[in-house]
Amino acid sequence: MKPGLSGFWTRIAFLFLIRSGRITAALSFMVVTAVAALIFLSALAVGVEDAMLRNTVGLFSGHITGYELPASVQREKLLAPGVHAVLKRTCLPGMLSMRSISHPATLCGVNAARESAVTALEKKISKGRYPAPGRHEILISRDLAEIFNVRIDDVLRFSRQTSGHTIDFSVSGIYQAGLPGLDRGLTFCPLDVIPAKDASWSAAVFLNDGVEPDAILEIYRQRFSEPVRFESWESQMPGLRQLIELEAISMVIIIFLVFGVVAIGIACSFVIFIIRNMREYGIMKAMGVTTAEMSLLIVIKVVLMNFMACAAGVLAGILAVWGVAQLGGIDLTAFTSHNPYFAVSGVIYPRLTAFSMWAPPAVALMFSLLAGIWPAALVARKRAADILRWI
Amino acid sequence: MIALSHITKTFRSGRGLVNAVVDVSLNIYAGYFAAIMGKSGSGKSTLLNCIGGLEMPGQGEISCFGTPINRLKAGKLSRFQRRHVGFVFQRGNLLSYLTIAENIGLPLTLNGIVGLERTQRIKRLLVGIDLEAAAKALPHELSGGEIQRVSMARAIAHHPKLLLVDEPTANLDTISGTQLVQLMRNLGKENGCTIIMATHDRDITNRADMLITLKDGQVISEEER
Repeated sequence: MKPGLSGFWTRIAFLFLIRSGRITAALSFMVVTAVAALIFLSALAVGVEDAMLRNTVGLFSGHITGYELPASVQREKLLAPGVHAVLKRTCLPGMLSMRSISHPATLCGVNAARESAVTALEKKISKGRYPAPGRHEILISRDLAEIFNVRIDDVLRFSRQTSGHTIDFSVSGIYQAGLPGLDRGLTFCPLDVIPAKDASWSAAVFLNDGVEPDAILEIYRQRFSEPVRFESWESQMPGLRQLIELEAISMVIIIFLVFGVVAIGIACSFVIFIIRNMREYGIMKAMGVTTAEMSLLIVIKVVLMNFMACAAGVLAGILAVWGVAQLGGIDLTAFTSHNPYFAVSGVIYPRLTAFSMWAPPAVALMFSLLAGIWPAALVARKRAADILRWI
Repeated sequence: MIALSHITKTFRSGRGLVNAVVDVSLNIYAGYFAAIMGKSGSGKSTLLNCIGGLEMPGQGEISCFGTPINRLKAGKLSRFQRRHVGFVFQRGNLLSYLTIAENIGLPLTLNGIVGLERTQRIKRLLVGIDLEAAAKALPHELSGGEIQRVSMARAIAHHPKLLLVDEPTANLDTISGTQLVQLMRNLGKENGCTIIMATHDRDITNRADMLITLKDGQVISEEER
């Protein structure tokens, strides 16, 4: 085959698709809907991952946690492009007591205003409020409130584990996070009243959507010469990481399965269409069109049709994601209320990623090549005289 | 010259083995208009297909202008057909999704005839078949006679040495059929090509340079005029 003829066959295939409008539309419809549906599903899966992440790291811990930062390190040093917020916390282990009851607890000094602005813990306060700055107030979990049988404004005494130094706090609020790690014994007081102002502190770093924690960790590694330990949510919550990976793998399997079925459908439809128009292929063979050219023409027809359908499918998928975002996401609270990964909100916002945009059309095009082989082989095997005698 | 030597073609069908062509030997000279006559099932189409390389004979040799086409491999045979042979069939000759001009231009592009020469040839042929105004029409917009005229134009567009025509007037009225054959003869003469036509039509055979009559796959008469 002459090199210039591949362009000629592409043009012939294009004319075939355009002028067989209804058939092209009917065959394309299947691909358009499959691509659009899978782009939407991929975006939905990303949205579910985002929601799980937002609910877990957004409740308290952040995407990255910095441990035992020296008092000399300023909070601003952790700001970087892609970092949404850095919260400074000073946590002390100790013992909470009231009358004859004592229970181990960790007291965290926090900036209430910043915590409210960045984390979702405030939404989990069932009674009262965050401790006010400068006042000896404490926010405790419902588990601790039940242990001590305390109400708002009751006084609890905190004893430091190391020095035995004690300080009294009045209960300003009671929360229930729904996460055992938080509810077990974490309490909060204003940062400026914590009895350890020069102690090392921990940082909760919150990232913008789509920013990889590893990229920020690399910046911190370059920025801090002293031995400071940072951990991303992925190493802190391996269960969640695996769940997200599992979801991504499931999505890939679904994409392959759907397009496997769609490809078979397209191949069958094309075979029917080609059998109906077999005489035209016989005439082309009689004109001296080689088997290779004939096969190329059929494969180009199938791939070109899929290419056009994929473009329309991508557009439809993007519009569907955009439409759902405009409607305020999909509220699945009724199905997530007992799930710790959705402790704050069950609203899912589908989000398009590079993967969700290219994977469905790429797999569709790959399968379309396979879908073209069967009809091409069917025509290639038949001799012109047989076709002309047959039809 | 087209030289057939002891051609035999047998098919296996539901009725057992069918001897479509039996020991046919013929010489048709270059530039001739040869008509093959015979009843339905006498082997006319099979013989045409064998001469054009669409069908491979079970036995015998076929030489088209010195090329032993029954010995060519598939790719070389396709290239031979593309360059030197034009076919016109009884019906359904055109590609339904190409316009009349595009149908005529197809063999030209396949033979590397592009650009201005291609455009001019298409235009000349459209004028020749009196369908210049229908250049952009699709086949379903034409009558049966018009379709056959376009088929004829397409078959000779690339100036083949050999034009094989299988009962082109079978679905046409007498006037359209006569006009078509006259047109074919004129276009063929202009390009100096050999025409072999299978037909039932006495009017057509009367105009032929050579008349071959087949019966049950065998040549029963061969007459030069």
